[in-house]
Amino acid sequence: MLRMMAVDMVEDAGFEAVEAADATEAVRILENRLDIRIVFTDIDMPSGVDGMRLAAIIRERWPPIEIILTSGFTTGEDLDLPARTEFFSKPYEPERVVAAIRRMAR
Amino acid sequence: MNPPKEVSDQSRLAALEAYDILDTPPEPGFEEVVHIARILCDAPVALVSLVSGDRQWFKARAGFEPCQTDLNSSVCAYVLSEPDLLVIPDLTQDPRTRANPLVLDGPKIRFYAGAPLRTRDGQAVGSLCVIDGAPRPHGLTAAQQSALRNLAAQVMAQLELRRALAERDELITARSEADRRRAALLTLGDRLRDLSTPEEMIRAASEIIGTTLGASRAGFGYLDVDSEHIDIVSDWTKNGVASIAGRHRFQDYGELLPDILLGAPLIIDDVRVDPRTCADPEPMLRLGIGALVNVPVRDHGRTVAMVIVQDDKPRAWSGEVLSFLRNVADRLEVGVGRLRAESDQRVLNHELSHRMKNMMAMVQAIATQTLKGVPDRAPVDALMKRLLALASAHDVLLKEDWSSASLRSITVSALDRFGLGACFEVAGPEVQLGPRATLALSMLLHEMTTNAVKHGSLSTDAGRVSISWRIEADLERPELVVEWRESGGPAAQEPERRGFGSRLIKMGLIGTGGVVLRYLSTGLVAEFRAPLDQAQQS
Repeated sequence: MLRMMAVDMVEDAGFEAVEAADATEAVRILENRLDIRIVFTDIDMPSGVDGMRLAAIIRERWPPIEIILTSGFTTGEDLDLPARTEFFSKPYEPERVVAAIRRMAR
Repeated sequence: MNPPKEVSDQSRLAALEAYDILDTPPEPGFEEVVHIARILCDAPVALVSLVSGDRQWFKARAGFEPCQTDLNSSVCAYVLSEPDLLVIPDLTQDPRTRANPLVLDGPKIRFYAGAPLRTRDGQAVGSLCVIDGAPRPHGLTAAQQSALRNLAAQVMAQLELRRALAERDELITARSEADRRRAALLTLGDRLRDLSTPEEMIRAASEIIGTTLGASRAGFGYLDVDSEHIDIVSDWTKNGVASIAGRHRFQDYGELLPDILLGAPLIIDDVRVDPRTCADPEPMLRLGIGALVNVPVRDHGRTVAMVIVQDDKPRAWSGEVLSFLRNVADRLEVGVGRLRAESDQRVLNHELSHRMKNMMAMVQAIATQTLKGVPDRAPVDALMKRLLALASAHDVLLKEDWSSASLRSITVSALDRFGLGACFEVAGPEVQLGPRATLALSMLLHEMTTNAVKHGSLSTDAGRVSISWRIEADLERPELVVEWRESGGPAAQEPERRGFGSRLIKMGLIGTGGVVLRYLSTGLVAEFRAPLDQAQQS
């Protein structure tokens, strides 16, 4: 449900969205496609690698990709975010996330 | 010759024991009596002689060197069975005394006159006697006999007085010790309330036990029953006494474990005598332990820890001391329990509020999806914004463990989403609001700002809003007053339609009103009032 809303938000803003169910799928997609510019991920995912770890992997393997994180379990202050990463506490305000995406995509 | 049978009479000996007089230093009251007896009877020797089971001991003596003799040398022992004075004109002629060593050798005493020292119950504990080196065929004169009787009564009066004073002193000491223990428990209660870690609580309790009981060490140890060890955490020690904090094996100190496993307090008055430690008291003595008490602290029926008190010398631990220690242990348990409950509560609050945030994100997603096709976006937008306002109030509370939030951070967080920081002026003292007031104020500020952006001062570039708050403390029930003042925009107009937003505003800070809205030509001025205690607690 939350992913559906996120996809809508991104597409309504005029971007193409590629969905991934978890970090493993996200990494697989990133390995196969070169046109992904921004990754928007929840920190808390049901299984396997969490969003923080995913962000670190991306920062290391695909340095140019921009990262946006969200979470309901933290309000952001206690996080050690990788470089060029934005954080939005859940529930987030779509306008603000979209503004961040536009800024990054510029 | 065997001493008379009265000497070993148990109730007589108990009566003597009760005066607690044997082997005490000389006292003027008794000294004066022997002095007077000597003068009145014109005798070289006068004694206050107390006859115990195996000796006669002189509380006061004049003209006689030894402070005690065995019963073999005692003439006084024969006074015990006399209803009145025992007068022996010539000791060498009396079958009871002619073989007495003091008669045969040494001072070679010849004349004896003694008045029994009798308690009110009739128990004879000794005699007041006069002794001469020459026989006195005529004994004492009637006046001398009467004087000796009266003086014997005086000795008894002294003994009674002495005992009464000792009892009173004991009572006073007991009472002042009881007062100290009571005061110590109160102090402990106060200190435990203010402390926030179990370690601090244990330290405070140890110190209070140690100083109150005048012990050499006091501490607290966690029990490891499986490995038969005790882990003593930081202990309080008297000046110059070393700490024994650390791990100790019960086995190394004697047969201590059986009592501990039963959950009974372990009480040892003297490690050299107690059957559990007397086999080898050295390990205890090396640590400077002469006496000790361990009181178990139980959790769910199991002994988990011990309150430990030690003294460097033997000590009879009274029932009062034990119940004091149990009280301390109970209070410590309650205090540590409170900490645990508070920490559990924090974890629970944290978990709960995260779930709530995720739930709100879900509500947001459902609403977004459900209302996707609705052509009129204004109400949809209002719904989404209100959801977010609620979520942001939630965030403020989450940062402060869901217990309270500062009015300033609530305000800043509520306004932040509008991105109009420069248009607001926020001022007021530090005030903490409870969770309900936090949510109410957040929603209220959201609605007020939304309205101001739509129709009020913030609909123009020059418009400003000043938000200020104060506490009116001089009222019978102090009130919190929050003021919202718009300026620089168009004249305020009372809205014709009352929507959800204005109803929400009317509910005020704690949901019960207390709102005054004034539509002035300079802009809207709103005042929100609520009793301070309610705003802080609810």
